[in-house]
Amino acid sequence: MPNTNTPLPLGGPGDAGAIRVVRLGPSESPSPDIGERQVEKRTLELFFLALGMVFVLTLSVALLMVPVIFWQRAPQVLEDIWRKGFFGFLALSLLFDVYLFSRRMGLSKLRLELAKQRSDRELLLAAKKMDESLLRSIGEGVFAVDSHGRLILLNQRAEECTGVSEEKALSRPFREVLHFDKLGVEDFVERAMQTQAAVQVDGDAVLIKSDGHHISISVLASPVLENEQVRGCIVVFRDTTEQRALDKLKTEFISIASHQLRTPITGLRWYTAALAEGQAGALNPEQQELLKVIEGCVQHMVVLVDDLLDVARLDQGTLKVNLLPVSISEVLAEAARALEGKANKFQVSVVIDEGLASTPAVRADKALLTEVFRNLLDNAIKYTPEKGSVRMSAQRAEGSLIISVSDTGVGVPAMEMDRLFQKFSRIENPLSNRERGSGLGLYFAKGIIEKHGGRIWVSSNVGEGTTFYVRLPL
Amino acid sequence: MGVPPLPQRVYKILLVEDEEFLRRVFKSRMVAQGYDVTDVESAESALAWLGQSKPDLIVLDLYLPKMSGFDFLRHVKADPARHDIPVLILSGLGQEADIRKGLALGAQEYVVKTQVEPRELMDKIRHMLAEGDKAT
Repeated sequence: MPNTNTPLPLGGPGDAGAIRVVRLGPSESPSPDIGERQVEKRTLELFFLALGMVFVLTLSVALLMVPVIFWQRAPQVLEDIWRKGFFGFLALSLLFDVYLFSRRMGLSKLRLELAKQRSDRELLLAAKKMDESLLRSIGEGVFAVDSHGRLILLNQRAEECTGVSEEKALSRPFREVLHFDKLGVEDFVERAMQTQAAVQVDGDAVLIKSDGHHISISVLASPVLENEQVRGCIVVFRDTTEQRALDKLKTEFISIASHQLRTPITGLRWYTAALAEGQAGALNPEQQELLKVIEGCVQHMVVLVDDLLDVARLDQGTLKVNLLPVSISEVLAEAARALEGKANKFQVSVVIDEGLASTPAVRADKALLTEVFRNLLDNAIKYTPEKGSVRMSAQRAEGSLIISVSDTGVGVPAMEMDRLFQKFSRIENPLSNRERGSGLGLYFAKGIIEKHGGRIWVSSNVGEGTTFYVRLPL
Repeated sequence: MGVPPLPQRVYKILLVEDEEFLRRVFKSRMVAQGYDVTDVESAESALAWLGQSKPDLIVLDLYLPKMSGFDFLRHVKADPARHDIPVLILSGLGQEADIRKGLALGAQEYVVKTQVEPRELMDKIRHMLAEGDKAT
């Protein structure tokens, strides 16, 4: 932690608001001593000013009177002055009056200034109070430290989350008061102050409450900067324990659902296969025909369950995309391998462009991307009549790779194009011997490609074929 | 006449699957291929059996009562006398996280139950046993 910075000037234990950091300090408040001194000073200033003015005025009058006194009535006037001492008395009383007047003026002027200062201070205090109330009422935990890591604020929510009261925590090193777990992410305060940039930790930090309970938190730590100097750090955090528990529950539910649904389907599949292979005796043509229908239904159920689970994960956001360099030619080869049986069955040839081997690797989740192209290829085969073909190729374009899956199939009518990527949208297939899809494959493909920062689109001519394009950033 | 042909080796397979109807159909398929199959319904029974015998392949379900398939796999891979037995996971769990975890724990193959035809599975098993032979 950088200790070279001067500590925050404010925010002592008795006067806790972090707002004080920038707004108001005790040195600015007027004390009675200062007030009295200022009265005296100002009174003297005004007194001497008035004295000067009276002196100048008297001198002017005296100068004006010189010719009168000496040329016309000098003897009488001089006699009057000497006899009654009136002029001296008048001058003295005038001086006293001026002093009194000056003092009075000085005081009232100062009072006005003091009153103004007081109202400014009241306004500032009110603003400070408002800011503090706002900070305290924020539904997220907020705490702030000075540049030495001493706590200068702990709002109400933070008190609840940590089990520590602000009163006891203030001005203590925050590490003594707040305890974090999970190596590598707990130094967010130090990192924010060192790098002078906000540090975000999403749900990976663990806060240990004063009663020993652990809570998962998301954290945003921002340095407090003043004239480009780090004055401290303000941290906003959110308790994500419930959110994480919920996410875990959802993932577990999908896991269990996937297992529970797949177990009976596996049974159906294997037992129908056993029957079809004559393990329970030879079947007559009619029995074979019926069994084929059962197999078709089971296959449809397999696709439905798989797609539903995929889409559930996509929609609830628990689907993790693990980005690594991936060879597109490998992905397409794997997708083609998975559908080899189907392509052979419907006599559709699948061609992977030779140029694909030399395309650069993309950053992608291989398993998910393979699933996307398996979906696209599956669709292409499903809507392509016997002896048709599906061609997969790729080309570079402006920092991205465009992969196309092109078939010689029945095509998509223009009016159906818009809803192609919507959930549960299925396009009527004139090829009656093909199984039905779930209507989720393209929706899933779009979601996955967008999670990779890419785009998917389609062009089609009825009766000629369809091409799906996938653009992935390089 | 010539030398009598060597008796063909009978591979031993340990099948761990808690669903009785699946155990039956998997086993009958494997037996039909000429394998010597021991089927158990739990990871605990499998570990007990492994204490006395060493199969050429373990076919393992993951979602088992009490000890999970993952934990069973950890036990087997930690046992110096058993860690080299190839393991094929045959599970209903199909999320990438499960697949990655299974393979990371040392399984050679991960097959999602519904995504494989019986014949394909048999091919995989034959291939794995052949690979195991090569390794030894």
